Amino acid sequence: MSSAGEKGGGAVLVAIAGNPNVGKTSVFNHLTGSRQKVTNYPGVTVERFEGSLEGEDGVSVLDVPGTYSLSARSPEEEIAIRTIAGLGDDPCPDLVVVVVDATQLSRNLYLALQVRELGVPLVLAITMGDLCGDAAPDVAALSKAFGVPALAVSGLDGEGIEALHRAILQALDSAPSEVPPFPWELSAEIVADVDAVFPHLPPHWNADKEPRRSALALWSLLSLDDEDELEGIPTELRAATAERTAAPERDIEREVILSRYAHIDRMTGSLSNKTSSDRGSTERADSILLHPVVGFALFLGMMTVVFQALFTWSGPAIDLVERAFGSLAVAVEGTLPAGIARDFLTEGVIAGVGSVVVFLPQILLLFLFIGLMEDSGYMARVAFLMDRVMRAAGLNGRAFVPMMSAFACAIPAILATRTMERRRDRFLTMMVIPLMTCSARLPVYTLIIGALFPVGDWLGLPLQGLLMAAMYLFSVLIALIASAVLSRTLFTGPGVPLLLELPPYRRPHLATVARMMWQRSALFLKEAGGVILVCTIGLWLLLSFPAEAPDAARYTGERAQAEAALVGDALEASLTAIENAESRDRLHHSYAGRLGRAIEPVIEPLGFDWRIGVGLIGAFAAREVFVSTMGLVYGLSENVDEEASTLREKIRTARRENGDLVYTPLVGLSLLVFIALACQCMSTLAAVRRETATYRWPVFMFVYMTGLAWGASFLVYQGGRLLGYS
Amino acid sequence: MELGLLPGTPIRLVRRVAVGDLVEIECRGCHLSLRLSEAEQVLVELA
Repeated sequence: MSSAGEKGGGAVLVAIAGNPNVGKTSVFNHLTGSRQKVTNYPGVTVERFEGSLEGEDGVSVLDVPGTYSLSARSPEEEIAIRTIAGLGDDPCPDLVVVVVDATQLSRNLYLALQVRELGVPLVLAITMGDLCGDAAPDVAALSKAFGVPALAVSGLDGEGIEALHRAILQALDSAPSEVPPFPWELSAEIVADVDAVFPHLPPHWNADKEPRRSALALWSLLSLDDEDELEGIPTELRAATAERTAAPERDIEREVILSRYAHIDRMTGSLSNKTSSDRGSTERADSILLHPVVGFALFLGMMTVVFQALFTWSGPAIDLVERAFGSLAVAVEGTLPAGIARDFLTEGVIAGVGSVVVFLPQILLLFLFIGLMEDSGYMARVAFLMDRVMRAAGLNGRAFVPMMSAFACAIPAILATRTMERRRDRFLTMMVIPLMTCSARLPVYTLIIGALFPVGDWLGLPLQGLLMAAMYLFSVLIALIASAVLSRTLFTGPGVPLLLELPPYRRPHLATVARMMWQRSALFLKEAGGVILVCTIGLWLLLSFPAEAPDAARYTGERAQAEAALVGDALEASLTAIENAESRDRLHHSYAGRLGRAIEPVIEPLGFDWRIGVGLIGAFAAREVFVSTMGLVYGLSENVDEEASTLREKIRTARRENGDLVYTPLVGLSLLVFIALACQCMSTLAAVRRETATYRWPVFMFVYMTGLAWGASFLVYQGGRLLGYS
Repeated sequence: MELGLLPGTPIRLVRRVAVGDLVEIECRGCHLSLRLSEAEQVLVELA
C-alpha cells in the first residue's frame, strides 16, 4: 500500500474517536470488516480494539474509547488523550477520524476541535444525519468551516463508508504541507499560562512546535489537579499548572471552554441552529420508563427476568458443559492406564478446564442482557433510577445490575462492572460483589441447614426455608454496609458529579451486542481462565499428594481378607468401605489434610475442627467443592451431593476425640456465617486480578473478607456459647 | 461544562424524578441528568 510505503516502515495508524453513543463502533466495524484484535490497554481495564483497514493491510485502525473531551476525568478519557496525542507508549496516529453525531453537533465538535488543536490530520464522519430531517447539517459547509474533510456516513447500513474509506486513504497520501495553526485565538492571559507551563512538558511528548505545544499546555492546565488519577505526570509539570490555576481571580478552565464553544458556535452558526432534535418517541418512552412508580416496577420486573435467566435458563447449558467434560474424563480414563498421569489429566486438567468453561453460559447470558440495555440506551436510565438507593451505600447507580447478577455468580458480575466509567466506582463495586449470595453457596447451605437444623415450624413458617432466606438477606445487608464503609474510608475518591447523558432510545444493533458478548467472554477465557486452571490443578495436587496412605499395606491386606471370606454384594460393600476408608486416610495424610490440621488452631475458636478446615480449603476451588470434600473427609464415595442423606447422617453424628458432637446447630450457624462472608473462590480473585490489573486488590479482598468472616463467626460461636448454647 | 452547559446556553427542564433528587435537562440537543445539588450550581434565567 502506497501510503504505508511512503511513511517508511511501521504501519500507518488511524485512530477513530468520538463521543459515547455516536455509532463510533459501527463505523469502526464497517471500516475494518471482521478482522479485529481485542486486547486490554496496559495497566487499565479498558478494551482496546484494533483492526486493519479493509483491503489495506498496512493501515491499522484503532477504536479509541468514547469520550466527550480529552481532559482526562476517567480511564477512557486518559486513554483517548494518550492515543490521540501519542503520549506514553503509543505512537502518534497519522490520522484521526472523529465521529460526530449530527443531532448534537456543537458538543461533538468540541472533541473534534481538541483534536484539531493538536495539529493531527483529521477527518470528520457525520452520523445520525437521517435523524435530523431537514435540519441535517450541510456537510460540505461544515468541512469548509472546520478546514478538514467531512463526510456523512450511516453506522447502521454502512452508507457512506466507502467514501470515508477513500477520504482516509486520500488524507494519508497527501502529506500535509504544513501543520495547521492553532484553530482559535488565545487571549493574552491564556498565552501567558501556556508559556509558563510549556517548559515543564516532558520531552517525550514532542511538544516543541505549535500548535501541539499550546494544545498540550492547555490540556495540562485543564486536566491536572489534586484529584486526577493520571499517572506518569512529572511533578514539575504538576507544580507549574497548579501555580497557574491557583490564581483566585481567574478560572482558566472556564475561559478555555467558553472560547472553544464560542469558536464552534461561530463555525456552525450558519449551518444548523436547531438545538432540539425530535425526541418524541424517546420522550414518551421515558415518561413511562422513568416514572417514579411504573418505571421502577418495570425495572424490577426486568431484573427478575435477568436473574431468573442466570439462575435457571443457564442450567441446561451448564449441565451440558459439565456432562461433556465428565464424559471426556471418563473417555480418557478408559483409554489410559491407571496412575498418577491419568489422575492428573482427568481430575486436574480436564476438571480444571471444565471449571472455567462452566462459567460461559452465565457470562454470555448476562452480557446479552447488558449489551441490549446499553445499546438501546436503557442503561443510562437504570443509573438514573437507582442513583438514590445506591448512593446511600456509596455506590454508583449503575452498580445495581452487577450487584444483582452476583446472586447468580460473582464472575460475570465482576466483568459487568465495566459499564461504570469511574475507576473508583468499578473497584468499590468489585470489592463487595463477592459478599452477595452466589449460586455456588447454595449447595453448601443446603447441606448444612439440612443436616443440622430441625425440619420444624417457626411461627407457622418452615424453619429451614426461613434460614435460607435469612442468609440471602444477610448477604445483601453486609454487602451494602461494607460498601458504605469502604466508600467512606478507602474509596473516598473525587466527588465527580453524576452527569449522565440520556441518549435517545434506539433499536439495539444485534451484531454489535453479539460481538461484545463474544469479545468479553473470550477475554475472560483467556485471562481469568488461565489462573483458574492453575489453581484447580494446584488444589488437586494438595488433595492427592502424597499419593500413598502410610499404611497402604494394611488396606491391601484387608482387601485380600474380604475377598477370601465374602462373595457377591457383601464383598462389593466391604470393598467399597475399605476403599472409602483408604481415601479418607489418604486425605488425612495429604498436604491438604496437613494444612487443615495446621489451621485448626485458627479456626478452633469458631467451632471448626480440621475436617471442616479441609473442606474450607477445598471450597477455595469453588464453594460447591465443600460438599464433595466433606464426602471425602467422611470416607464416603466422591460422588456425594448435598441431598445425600448418608452425608447428612455422618455430619450429624460425627464426634470429636473426646466424644462431643462436632456439629451442633451453633457450629452450623457459625459455619454458615463463615461461608457467607469468606472470600473462598479463586475464580473471583482471578477475575478481580484481571479487571484491576494488579494483585493489590484481589489480595485486599481476600484479606478483608476472610477477616470479616472470621470475626463474625467468632462472635456467633463464642457469643452463642456465652448465652449457654453448645 | 465541557458538555456545553455554558453561560448563555438555553436549557429546558424535562423532568424531576420524585424518588431521587435528580433532574433531567435538555441542553444543546442533548439530554443530561444532574443531581439537584449539582443542578443548583446552574443559574437559570427564565426566557
